[in-house]
Amino acid sequence: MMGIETAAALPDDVVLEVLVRVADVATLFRCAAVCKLWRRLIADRSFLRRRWPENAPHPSFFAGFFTRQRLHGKEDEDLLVGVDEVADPDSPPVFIPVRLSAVGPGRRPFLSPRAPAGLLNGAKPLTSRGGLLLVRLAPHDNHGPVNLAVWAPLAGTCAVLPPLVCELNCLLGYALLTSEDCCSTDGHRTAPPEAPNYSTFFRVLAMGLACDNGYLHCSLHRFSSTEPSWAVSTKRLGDMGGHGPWTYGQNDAAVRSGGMVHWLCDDWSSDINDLISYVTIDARSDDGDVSLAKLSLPLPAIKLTLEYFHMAGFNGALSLFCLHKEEEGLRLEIWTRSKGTDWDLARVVELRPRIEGVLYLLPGEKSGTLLINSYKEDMYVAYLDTGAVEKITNEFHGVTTDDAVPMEIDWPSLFMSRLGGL
Amino acid sequence: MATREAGKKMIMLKSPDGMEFEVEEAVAMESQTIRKMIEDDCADTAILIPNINSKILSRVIEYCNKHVPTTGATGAAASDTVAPAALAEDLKIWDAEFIKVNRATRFDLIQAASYLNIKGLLDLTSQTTIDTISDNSLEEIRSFLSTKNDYLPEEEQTIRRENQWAFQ
Repeated sequence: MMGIETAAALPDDVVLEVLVRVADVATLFRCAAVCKLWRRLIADRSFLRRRWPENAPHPSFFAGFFTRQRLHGKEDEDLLVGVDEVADPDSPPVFIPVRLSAVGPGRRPFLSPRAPAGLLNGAKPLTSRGGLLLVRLAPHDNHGPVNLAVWAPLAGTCAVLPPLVCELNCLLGYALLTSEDCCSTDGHRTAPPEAPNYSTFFRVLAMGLACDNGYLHCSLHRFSSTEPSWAVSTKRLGDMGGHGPWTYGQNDAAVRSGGMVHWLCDDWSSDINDLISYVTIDARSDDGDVSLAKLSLPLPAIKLTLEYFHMAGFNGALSLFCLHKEEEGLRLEIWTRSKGTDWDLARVVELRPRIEGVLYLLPGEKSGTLLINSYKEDMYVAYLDTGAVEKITNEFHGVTTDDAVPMEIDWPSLFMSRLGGL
Repeated sequence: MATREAGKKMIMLKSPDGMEFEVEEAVAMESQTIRKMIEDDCADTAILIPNINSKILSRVIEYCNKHVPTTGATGAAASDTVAPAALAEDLKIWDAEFIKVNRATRFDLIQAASYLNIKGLLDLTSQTTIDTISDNSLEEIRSFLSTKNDYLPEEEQTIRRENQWAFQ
């Protein structure tokens, strides 16, 4: 019937047509609070899937990055003393939002956690996944137990994990997995297990390494929100031929579907003349099995134009993000490993304008973005759909940049968890 | 109504309040709903459009007339000399004028666009509504849409408290 005076009188399917066009995430969320019917319409799986189609990157998922407050007067000393020395031990991690984010600057300050005051002071952001952030709590020394916490910034909750004791002398890195990562490899989603003590399911992996009598030993520590304590599995990985110590590449692991986790390391056991050689340390998150594999690079040789490369999960597969220098800008090649050790060039993106001196890059898998840091301590975000590069430097004055952790927010999951169950 | 040209197939659209509108088939087929009726041969010489009164239907036809691809004769000169960008710009200005209607008419147009499945009109009417509520507080959204709040005060407080990012 015509003569509709109120939006409430519109048929549901018409309201849905309007709601699906609401671009701003926060506005859409507020619409769910307008009335119960709208809440039911929005917190509906098929609606959310239409708004954010599955298996498509959504730049709105990239919210920004976490980093640490810099000590006053320690502006230029990162390279001299290390980033841990210049971070303020009395400040919690800082969140730097990107301009267009739903949690963007000047619009909505990011929530501080409902955690005991001071708990997160001096905490170091380690890695993030599915809207969760893994942090290492202070104080920290290299010999005692490591205290970790999983922080859900949007929910405002913070769960402290039991202390992690690693007998081996080097903690290679960490991985954080959510229920989505732990589903079976054939694509079937199993229902996330109950997590009685935590608001959401997660799993944390920590990899310890040591070289002993020429052999490389590892200990994989696994903690799941459904278990009361850490599980440890140790293994002798291989004969290093007396070489060591290793230097370690990236701390954050590449996570791919089925709960497989990979760390990239320099391979010092190979011929000294073979300068560029890598191995991956691969772990299965469910049973803790660890293996070592030589990484055969897709590039015939490391090309002179190669500026930087990073291993990450991309579309559920193990991938290499290779940045090449070009006159106008940077060319990004994404190589994914399909079966065995073969690499396929999955994507090429021309990034403009050019960034000088890339220090590291961190891909956002669900948002189709890259967080890029340069030697000049500038931070950039690059969008894979357009190749546009945006400098976000001015927004993080006074914070460390060497340990930034990008934060993606899976909005459909967030909407379901906050608005469902009515 | 546009000048009728020889060879153009015409279709009669009828509103429930008894008005009849003779339109070119190409114009009517801007509506995917009508297009399907015509293609499925479900359309006789006249198609009854339920639920859409003559006032709204005439505005919808006005929109379709403007937006039908200009290879046909719809009044707007389909000339090779007009650049596509300029044409798009012209349409944008026209749309902005077209949608300057009161709230009730806009809701009617949304519903008509949804029923008749006219994507451009649905985009235009929805976006205009969204523009009025973006960056507004919850109270303002409710008042703009004149929807009733059926949350208990405690329920609304809980949503706000747990999701401050969306309400600040």
